[in-house]
Amino acid sequence: MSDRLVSSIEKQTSPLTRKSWNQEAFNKLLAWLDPDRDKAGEKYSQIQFRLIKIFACKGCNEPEDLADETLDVVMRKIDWLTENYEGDPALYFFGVAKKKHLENLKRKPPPSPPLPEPPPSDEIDCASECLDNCLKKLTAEDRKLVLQYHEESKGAKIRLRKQLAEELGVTINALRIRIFHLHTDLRQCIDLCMRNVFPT
Amino acid sequence: MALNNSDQERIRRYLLGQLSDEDLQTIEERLMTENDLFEELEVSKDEIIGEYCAGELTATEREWLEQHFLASKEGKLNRRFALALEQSKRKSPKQETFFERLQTRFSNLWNRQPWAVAAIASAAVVLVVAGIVLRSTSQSTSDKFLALTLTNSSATRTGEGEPAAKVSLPLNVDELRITLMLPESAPSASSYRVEALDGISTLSVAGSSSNSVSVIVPAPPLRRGNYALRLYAIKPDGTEERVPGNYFFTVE
Repeated sequence: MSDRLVSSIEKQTSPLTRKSWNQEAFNKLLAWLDPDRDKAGEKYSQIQFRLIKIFACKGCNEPEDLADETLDVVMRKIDWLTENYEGDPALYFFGVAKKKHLENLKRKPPPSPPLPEPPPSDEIDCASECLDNCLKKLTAEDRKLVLQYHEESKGAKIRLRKQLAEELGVTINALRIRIFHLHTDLRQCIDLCMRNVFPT
Repeated sequence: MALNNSDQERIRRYLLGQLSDEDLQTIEERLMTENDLFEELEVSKDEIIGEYCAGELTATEREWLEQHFLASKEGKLNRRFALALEQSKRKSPKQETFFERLQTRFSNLWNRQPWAVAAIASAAVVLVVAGIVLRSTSQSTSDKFLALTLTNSSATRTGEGEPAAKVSLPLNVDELRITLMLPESAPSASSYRVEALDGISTLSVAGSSSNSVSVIVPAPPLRRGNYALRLYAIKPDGTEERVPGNYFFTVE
């Protein structure tokens, strides 16, 4: 199990990182994250995932590359870290990530970025058709919930969602999280469906 | 999720670029180590993109989102999903309405506990009668809003061109319901967003028809003076186009 997880991490890393891939350093890094190799692999993936998300929130076009560069820097310092660093390793990764982001801004100063083009209307039409099909794959209860959740707007929307939560006997937060997971499933289903129409 | 409302608010402000550098640093560190907060980030992102596509964000919030999260690949995919959802919403008839749900609940209750329905019905009759009595004794306090219809003006400020509509606000009025008539040159839109040039911080679009848009402005903060509103058409693909001209009115 642990070997499978670790090998999947190795495969996920970008060519940039693979060039400087050092198996010994990677093993030390995992050991630094957690003595249990399984848990270490999970922590590594979690840190990588969160770095990507934070870089994306900052508007980085290639968040995966910046996350890989961050992991690479930390891996190169692993001997020093195992000897000297105290604290949550995730915070050290974050510190490096911040520097990487600043370097990236200096390297490629953002030329007041053009507003992202909205997807072409045929793409939206297609995504909408895919969504209709994907909704059919949900259970009747989930499908109804997703559609009801998006009725109304502003004040009416808030009242409606409160009422839906009451009907389901859950808190508003639990309802938000349930909807988010349903959206995630639907997004994945739409991606698969769209790949057939707009193959990359 | 063991988060409080201020964490939710902070995450929302993080995504909309409204945090100080210090708060930004703190929240990002917490995102690296706290699972609940990270989950909140993902949930809020999903919601904010939905609000963006429904035209519910302010111009500044839209701009920030476009130059940051929406510029990423993940942001683009989320935007596509939200637009598809908006389109499906428009295509499909509305689900059960509030009153339909109420009706369903009521009939379920009738089948299970008819005595409870009888009690509710009696209480409702008492309330309706009391309401009628109150209304007849204090007619002046029942009018809580003032309606106003504004036509589009090509002028850029009050005083130019046609005189602005005038309105005086009695103390018991809660809100101003303004109907903005659309000019012929108005772009086609799936929804609208309204902005005040100055002096009004809270206003919202309540609905629209083929030739007009209804806007609600809470009355208490309005003082005597000149006001101007601008309308933006939100197209089915989520882009905005300003409706040419302005809407002027004067509070006396």
